[in-house]
Amino acid sequence: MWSDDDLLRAWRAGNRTAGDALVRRHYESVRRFFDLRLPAMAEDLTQLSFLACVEGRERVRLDAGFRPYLFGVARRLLFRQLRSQDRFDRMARFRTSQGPDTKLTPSGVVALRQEHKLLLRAFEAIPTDAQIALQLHYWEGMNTNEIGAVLGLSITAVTSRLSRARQRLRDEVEAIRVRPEVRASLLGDLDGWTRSLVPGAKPIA
Amino acid sequence: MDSGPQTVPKLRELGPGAPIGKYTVVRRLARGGMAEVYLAREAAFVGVERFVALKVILPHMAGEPRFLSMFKAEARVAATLDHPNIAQVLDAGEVDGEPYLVMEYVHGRTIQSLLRTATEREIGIPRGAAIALVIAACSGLHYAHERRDLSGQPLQIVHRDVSPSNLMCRYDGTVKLLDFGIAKAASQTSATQTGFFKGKSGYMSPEQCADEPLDRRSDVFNLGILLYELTTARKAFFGDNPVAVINKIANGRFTPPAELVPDYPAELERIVMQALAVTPEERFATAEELQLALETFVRARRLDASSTARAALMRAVFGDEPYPSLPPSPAPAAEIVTHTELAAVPVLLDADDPSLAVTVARRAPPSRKRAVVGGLVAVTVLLGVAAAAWTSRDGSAEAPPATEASRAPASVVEPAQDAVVGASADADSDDTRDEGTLAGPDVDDPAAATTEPVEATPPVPTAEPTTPEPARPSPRARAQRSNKRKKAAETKRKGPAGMYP
Ligand SMILES: Nc1ncnc2c1ncn2[C@@H]1O[C@H](COP(=O)(O)OP(=O)(O)OP(=O)(O)O)[C@@H](O)[C@H]1O
Ligand SMILES: [Mg+2]
Repeated sequence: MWSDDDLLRAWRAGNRTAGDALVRRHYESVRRFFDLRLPAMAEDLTQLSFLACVEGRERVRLDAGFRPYLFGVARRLLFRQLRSQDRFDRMARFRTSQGPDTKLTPSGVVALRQEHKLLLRAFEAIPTDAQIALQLHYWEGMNTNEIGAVLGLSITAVTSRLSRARQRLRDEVEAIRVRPEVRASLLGDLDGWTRSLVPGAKPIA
Repeated sequence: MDSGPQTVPKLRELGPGAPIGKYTVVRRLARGGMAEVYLAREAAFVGVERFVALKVILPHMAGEPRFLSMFKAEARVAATLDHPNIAQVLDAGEVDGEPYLVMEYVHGRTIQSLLRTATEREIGIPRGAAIALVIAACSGLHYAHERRDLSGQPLQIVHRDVSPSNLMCRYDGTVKLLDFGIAKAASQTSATQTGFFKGKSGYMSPEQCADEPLDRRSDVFNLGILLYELTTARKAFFGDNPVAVINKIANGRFTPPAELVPDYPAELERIVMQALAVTPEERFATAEELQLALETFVRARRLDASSTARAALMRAVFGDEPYPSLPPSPAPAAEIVTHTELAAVPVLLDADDPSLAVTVARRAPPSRKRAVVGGLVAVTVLLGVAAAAWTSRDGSAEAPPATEASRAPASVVEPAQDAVVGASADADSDDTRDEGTLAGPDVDDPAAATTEPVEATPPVPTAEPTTPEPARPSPRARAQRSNKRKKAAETKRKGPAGMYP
């Protein structure tokens, strides 16, 4: 099997088949990266991330491998989107072209474990870079070196970033108004619940 | 029944003339998340015919036993409600295992439609009329909240889903609450709560967010949202994802109306704030208390909160909308729709859904709605997921305003416009943007894509390269995950990694 680096090089040289293979290999990971925060735009942002990788010739830094590079790009795209000035104004307006944004599900009835719901709420409440660190660790199985490459941090900084993020998550779970048994269950195995939120999560490094 | 080649109904849709029990479908009115709503006529019994609204549960919901029992409970409770501000439930039944509800036909629009169309056409909603809508909703809700059973025991009905899509205003100004669909006697609820999430995330009370037992004050909170939105023309609670919205509701985070509307009266803002208090104890104790506060405000300010004010608003936003009519003879529907004098039968030409108004579909180019649905189907295939559920809110409830153009047979909504709408990298418009993204430029063209063009139409290498494997690997089940969760993950996920099923 070709390595990511080989595929990227071939794609940049114009080999579309190589590009297809590379995208296919990582699509789902990048997609779920965006899905957490911006589900309505996740597909577009995912595609943009790959494009940015193949276009961004001069900024290649693959020392930690392709995946950290890819997620670094994705992270920048995410932040750029979150910074966009008129985002809130647009969301607050009523528009005819409105999609299913205000609905949790088509049916309005979701079978979602209470623990997962609580966990998602806690995730939503912590800072974005803490979210990202946890995503990369729990869902993408990245090691500290790789996470550091995504976030631009040293290995020691990543270690403390991760433990602080975990603590923030715990604090939020404690603070959210919810039935006590749900909280207890979630805190009983926070790692397990976090991983089970994403069916295709990669093994933890 | 349908006849002729053009009258073949789309899959799972009831075409004009389709019989359901003693009712005959005229056209589809709208499609919601769990049901399709049809305009139908009740068969002449002793010479009297009338229009009714038929709410038929969508197959994907009809298959869920818990939903079904909920639907039946809904019908039972709703049928006992009799109030001018509640759409009367007339009947219920089942065809081929698909349950339906028969309601009074409300000749008007939802408040959601009102807010969207008014915004789009830049029509301000007069404060008096806005408050008048909420007052009427208060009245209907208070009636329901006060209902008792035959032995005099309070039924403790809570609507649970008071939202702009469940409140309609008739063109004559009469306000009707819809869908006591998930209203259930409070006594029944606690047992069936686990794992279920009801309501639209932007229209839930803090108690609903916390999965706590609900009482009428939950509905009062939702009335507060309606009041906020109608008087500011902005959403009270919104966010990048449903969970963000829920967190805002739970923490009472919203922009005070006076920050959005410069001359917003302090007294009205106090009313809004009290209705939207996070703690139920701090809210108006009943919908009637809220109603009284609003009536006092309206009187003090000498605002016009009459039903004629509401009717005038409806006319200003939607124009004149004639009551549905059919040719006098009981002609088969297939003949009706192919009749040459179609312009004389506005109900058939003004159909929200071209697939039902056969003649429209045949003559007109693909309408916007059809294009949208087509795009969604494409995405479904592309991602290999059951995104079909998301097509359910295809916006078909939002018919274009009743202008001359929209009523003409060859009503043209250029597909090209859709591409423009869909092209914006807009968090809300994912229902319309599919074709734009699929038709992206080729990656081989270096000019086609810039490095980080987030604001523009995201180009795509080609449709194929980015296509992930259609079949998702079956999710590795964890011990904690119940079967229900797994099933939900497989059937309801929005995308390959959709975290909000
Ligand atoms: N009795 C009625 N008369 C006329 N139109 C109706 C009637 N009931 C419903 N409708 C129309 O059908 C639409 C769909 O209703 P439905 O309840 O299925 O979906 P919804 O209100 O958008 O979402 P939800 O599933 O949360 O209720 C409504 O928005 C309204 O436009
Ligand atoms: Mg409804």
